[in-house]
Amino acid sequence: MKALRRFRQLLRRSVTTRALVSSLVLLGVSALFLIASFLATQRKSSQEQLELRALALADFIAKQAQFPLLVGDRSELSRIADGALSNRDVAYLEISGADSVLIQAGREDRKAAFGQRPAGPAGTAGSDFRIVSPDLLEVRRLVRPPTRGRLLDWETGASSEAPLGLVRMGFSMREQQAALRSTLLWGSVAIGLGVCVILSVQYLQLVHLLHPLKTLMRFTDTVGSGDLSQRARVDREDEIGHLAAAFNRMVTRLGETTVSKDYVDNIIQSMGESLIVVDASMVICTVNRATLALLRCEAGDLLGQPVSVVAGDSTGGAVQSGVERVYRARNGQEMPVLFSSGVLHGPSGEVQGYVWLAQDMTERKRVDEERNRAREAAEQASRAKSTFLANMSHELRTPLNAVIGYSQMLMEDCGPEAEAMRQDLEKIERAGQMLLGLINDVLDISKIEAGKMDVDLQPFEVSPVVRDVVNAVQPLARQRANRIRVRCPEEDPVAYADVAKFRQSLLNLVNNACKFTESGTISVDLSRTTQAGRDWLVVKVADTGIGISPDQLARLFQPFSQVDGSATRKYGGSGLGLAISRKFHQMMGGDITVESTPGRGSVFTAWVPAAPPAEKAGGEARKREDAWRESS
Amino acid sequence: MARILVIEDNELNRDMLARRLARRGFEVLLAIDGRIGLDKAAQAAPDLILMDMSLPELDGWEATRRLKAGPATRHIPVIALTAHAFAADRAKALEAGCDEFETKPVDFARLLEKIGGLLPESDS
Ligand SMILES: Nc1ncnc2c1ncn2[C@@H]1O[C@H](COP(=O)(O)OP(=O)(O)OP(=O)(O)O)[C@@H](O)[C@H]1O
Ligand SMILES: [Mg+2]
Repeated sequence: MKALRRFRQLLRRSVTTRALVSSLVLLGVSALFLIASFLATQRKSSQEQLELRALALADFIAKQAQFPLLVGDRSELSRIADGALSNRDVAYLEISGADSVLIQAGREDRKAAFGQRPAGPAGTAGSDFRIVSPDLLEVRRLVRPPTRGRLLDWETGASSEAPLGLVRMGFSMREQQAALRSTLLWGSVAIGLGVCVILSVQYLQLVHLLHPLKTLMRFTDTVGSGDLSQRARVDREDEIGHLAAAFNRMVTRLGETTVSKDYVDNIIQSMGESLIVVDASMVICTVNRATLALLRCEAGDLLGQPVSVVAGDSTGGAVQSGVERVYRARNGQEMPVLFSSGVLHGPSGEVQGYVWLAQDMTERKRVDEERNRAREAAEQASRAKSTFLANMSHELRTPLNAVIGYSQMLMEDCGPEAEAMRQDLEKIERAGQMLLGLINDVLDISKIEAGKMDVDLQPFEVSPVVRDVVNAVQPLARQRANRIRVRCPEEDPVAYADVAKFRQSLLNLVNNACKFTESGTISVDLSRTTQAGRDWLVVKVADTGIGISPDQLARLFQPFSQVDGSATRKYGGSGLGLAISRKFHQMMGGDITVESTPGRGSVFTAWVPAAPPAEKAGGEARKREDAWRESS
Repeated sequence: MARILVIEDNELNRDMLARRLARRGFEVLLAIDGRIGLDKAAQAAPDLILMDMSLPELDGWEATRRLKAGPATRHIPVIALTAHAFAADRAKALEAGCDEFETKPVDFARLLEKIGGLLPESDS
């Protein structure tokens, strides 16, 4: 049973074995048939031959025995018998007379056959065959008297009709059977050899046929294991060659699509964002490396799982873009992610699944938090600074208040007799005023830098302010032998700005002009103009003083920038005035520009809005215009 | 002659202000904190009050608020004096009910002008 099963398995596994076995069976069956029919024919014909020979011999013996039987010559009869027995296949011979057996002879080695001789009655039939045993043939022949009495016709005329006797002869068929056997043997050998030859030829043919198939099979295995660079050898023109060629085409095609699949795969895997593809029933079917890194797990933990293991608040098929969600890592940790999703449609538009994209926000959140903390700290520091400045300002002003106040009081007390003392007191007072100015400036600049300086924009008439400022500077101008000239359009110009800041910056400009000019003219020109879609009040403060060199101009509006130290010593000042003035003007919507020729003088131009900004649309238009100006 | 109540905690400033005002012919009353200032204002009924804003006990803003709430003192003009130069301080002072605002160090001439502006015509 086991062997049979093994054989069946072998048949199933190998085409060669199957083909060879079926050929063997076919050939064997036909060979058997051939041998059988050949043997049958052979046997029949050799028996016929034997029969013919046996008959002929029996006839001959019967003829020879005619006369001796007639005359009763026994010795002649036994001679005849000996002669007959000299034939190799004659087993025995019996010649009987009319009523008794006269001669009985058998070959020594055929005694057995002779012994088998059936004792039949001397039949009346002329001749007949009897197969006594498989290897024995018996022939009987009646011996009749010679016809028409050619011999002793006259003596036996009466009884010429009656047979003279009977010849019985046994023929051995062993020879024939041996011959048949050897024929069978050699025939089988020949046929066996033939079958062997045929089978081996067939085997070789099969091997030859199957070899390219085996190669193709090995090749298929390499292709199957992912190596698409191999090609099958096509060196035949038969069906197998076609097969190999077709196979190559398939591999090439496969290569094309597989390469693009690799390409897409590569992209997906190298993405920094987490990508999860789920099918229509929200089961995860694809994840990329970033997902595994984000969720700290293996692909096996996710694939085939419902997507709710990743995000509990599964939103089903909703398409979202750039929303914040929470992914759950394998260890339960929650990950803030920036989430987007899309729907995967099949060829006929049905929903096949969804693509989820997520970006890890943990780090960004952390950075944000840090930044918030830093900003809070900075804000707190800035608040502390502001408080400190306010307090400092208070603490400095209070004693200054006393210094200035007492000096002023004492000056009032001084009579004409104490002129020297009055002058000293004046110096103390001026020093106090300067210190006060410095404190104010430092306070202003730090407020500007902290973004704490607000402007109170109101429309106001400019002329009184200008007059005020000029009056305030007049003493300095006189001291330096300068003339101040104010030119104003007929109708009183109006500005839309912060009066106090306008006053302070104009004071600084005119003050500077007086400081850096000697025996010259300072002119303050007011005019109106329209530029960039807005009405402006333009205040020009020009002097004929020392001027400013081009590289000094570049740093002019930076805090603490004084053109040179000696000038500072000579004229006093902190170098903050212009920086503050310009900032004020910018906060009010305008600006200060400057032109200067060293040695000839300087012109500072302050641009002050003459009216509140127009409606929103107008503002937008202006912004656009500005942008255009900047870009051109 | 007009009577001016100076409420100021800083001794130097108080002394200086008092002497300069006295020299101009004003009758000067002094208080060293908000509470005393309120009492004096109620008792003496001054024609004008110079109020420092940062005071112990009761600060200038609160004192002004109470002055302006009291029927007897409501009409007395108050000039706020503050070392804080911020615009917000000015707004805060005016909000509390001050009639004028002056930063320290005091420009005495300007202060006199403001005082003159706030005193009834007959008194000056
Ligand atoms: N009209 C001018 N002519 C020549 N140089 C000038 C003129 N205006 C300003 N400068 C130069 O620019 C510098 C900066 O001026 P700024 O007004 O900022 O400071 P300051 O006048 O020196 O001090 P502050 O104004 O703070 O008391 C001056 O020191 C001076 O060297
Ligand atoms: Mg200056």
